[in-house]
Amino acid sequence: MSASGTFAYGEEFSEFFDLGLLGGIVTKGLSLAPKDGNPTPRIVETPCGMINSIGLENIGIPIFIKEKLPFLMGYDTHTIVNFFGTTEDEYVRAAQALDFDGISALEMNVSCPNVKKGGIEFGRDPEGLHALVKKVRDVCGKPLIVKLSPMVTDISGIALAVQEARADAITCINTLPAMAIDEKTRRPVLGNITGGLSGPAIKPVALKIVWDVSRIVHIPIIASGGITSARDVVQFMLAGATAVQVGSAALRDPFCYIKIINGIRAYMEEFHIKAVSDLIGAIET
Amino acid sequence: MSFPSPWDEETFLITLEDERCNSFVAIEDGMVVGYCLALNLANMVHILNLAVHPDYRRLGTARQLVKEILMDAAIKDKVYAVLEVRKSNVPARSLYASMGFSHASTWSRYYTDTNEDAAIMVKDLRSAMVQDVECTVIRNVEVATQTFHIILEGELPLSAPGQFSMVQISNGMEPFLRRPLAILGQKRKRQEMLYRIRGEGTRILSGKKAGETLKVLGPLGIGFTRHDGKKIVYVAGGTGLPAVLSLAERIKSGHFIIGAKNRYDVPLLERIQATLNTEIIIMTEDGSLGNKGLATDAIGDVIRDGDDGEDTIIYACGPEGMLKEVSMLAAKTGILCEISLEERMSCGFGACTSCVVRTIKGNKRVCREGPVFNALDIIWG
Repeated sequence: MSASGTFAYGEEFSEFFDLGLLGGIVTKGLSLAPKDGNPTPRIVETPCGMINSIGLENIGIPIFIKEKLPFLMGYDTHTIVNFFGTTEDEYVRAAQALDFDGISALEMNVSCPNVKKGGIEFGRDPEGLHALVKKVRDVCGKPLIVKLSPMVTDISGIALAVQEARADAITCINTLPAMAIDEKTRRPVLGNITGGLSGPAIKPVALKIVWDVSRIVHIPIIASGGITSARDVVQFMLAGATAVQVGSAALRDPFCYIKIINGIRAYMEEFHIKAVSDLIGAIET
Repeated sequence: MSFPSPWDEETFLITLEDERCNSFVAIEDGMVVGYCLALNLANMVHILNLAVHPDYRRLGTARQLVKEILMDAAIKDKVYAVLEVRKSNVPARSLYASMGFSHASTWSRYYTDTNEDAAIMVKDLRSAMVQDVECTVIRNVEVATQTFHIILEGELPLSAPGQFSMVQISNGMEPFLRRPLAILGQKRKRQEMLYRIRGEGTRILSGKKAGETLKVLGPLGIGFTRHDGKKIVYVAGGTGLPAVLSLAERIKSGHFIIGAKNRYDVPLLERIQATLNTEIIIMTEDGSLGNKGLATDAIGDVIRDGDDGEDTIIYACGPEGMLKEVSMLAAKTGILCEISLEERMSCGFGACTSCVVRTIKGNKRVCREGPVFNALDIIWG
């Protein structure tokens, strides 16, 4: 599936390939009210990756449902809506507002590093997160996925709290807080000063977190973090992921999804693997 | 051996005898290893049947067969290509999708042998779609201070003045992102660009030799709008030159103002003088070529009293300060003005929203709704 924030609302990629080939499309993070996002520059390239500080710019849930969802429903895939709020109440109301046919699941963003309120601070404390997820769970009739930040002292405690609050799945990981400075002007490169690091640079970090979390929870894990190839996908599945999200790689090559899907098939043929699910957690240590 | 329920001989013969039928076969090692059958209907071509021998798959045979059908359909002025494919046939769906077919609808239980759904896929043959094309570097030379002229050759879709391409500098992960380069011109399979070394990516690009390959995604963005019959003023500052020049070389008339730091900073001057049948005004900051001053200083001389929005248009690209000043002038005089913006991008096709600009109609993506905007729409920071 696509990773939130790198796939907009799907339309742009539909010009490159049949969106029905994806297992799911994860939308850009949505809030109840539209959001303008951060000042530019919003992007800086780094070794084997990039830092973004879009600032959760989005069109708001009501406009998404009216203008974008019908388009996505035309494809034979699952629409997973990533959403966030700045207060517990906003998370709950956003989840309620997304109770629409045509949306397969919700992904709760409790880990965006790019906004002052909402996002990452919700995802740092196991007790607070447990309470928040539970409140959303109580009003959410759809499968609920919680996307975690890697910037916590105890990822296992966080993952367990999310599972105990009856989330259906966990996405690991969101971007890592990061920054870039222009040494000539002595100024930060990003308009927002700091942002979130993604791309192959964070893949080993994500792999370790997926492995850690997979040994502590029994709900499915969706891996995200620097995946660019079928080999990466197989590695994440061996570490315990049930599904994967591809994000930054698609900004560089929008056709990468198709190449990855074909690559997984070739890997399965080469190693005589009958079902891709046979790979989940099959790491040999 | 390619289908669970293949056509029988009679069906083949009836189809092949139909004068609307078009067929291609692929021959390898002296054998027919694949074929494609299509039916030319009113304004569309319907791809009926495509098969490749299992031993000859993954060699691009199917792609070539479909390409032949599409090229033939384009020659016959067909508007759409249509086909149906089994939902479970993911390799085929990927192939068609990568060739620009989109999923139009699903026919449930269309295949009676397995009760399987058919995906109906359609391609609009009129639109030059965005493609990722492997290109060969033909030329890549420094033509002004830190400014390079690159010519790339490949099966590139046609582009319009003001559009850009995203060029992948490396097949590895460094640099990770592509670089947006304004398309200076395109003739058949060759696309040319001008770029200035700004950082690591463009520095690596400048080292590419003739014969090396690069992947080029494009054409992207919305280019300039042509307004025939108006007096045209082009304003090109610094790295904004290729975008404006791409249009001027197409239209050929008008007043062309170039702004540069000094005389070493003006690329391709001889060519510009040779191709443009127009007044060329050069402004350099140190006066080492043309007149001393900024590009904006020259606009006043070109736009004289009495010129107004009814009969004049300005096309501009360059540094933000210059564009802001040109826009102010346009607002004051009521002259129509289109500006091409430059902004840091990561994808180039609208997915990441990193290149937004504030406009009176809200945030707009430079890569998608631009890079060319009506100057009056921009809210300057």
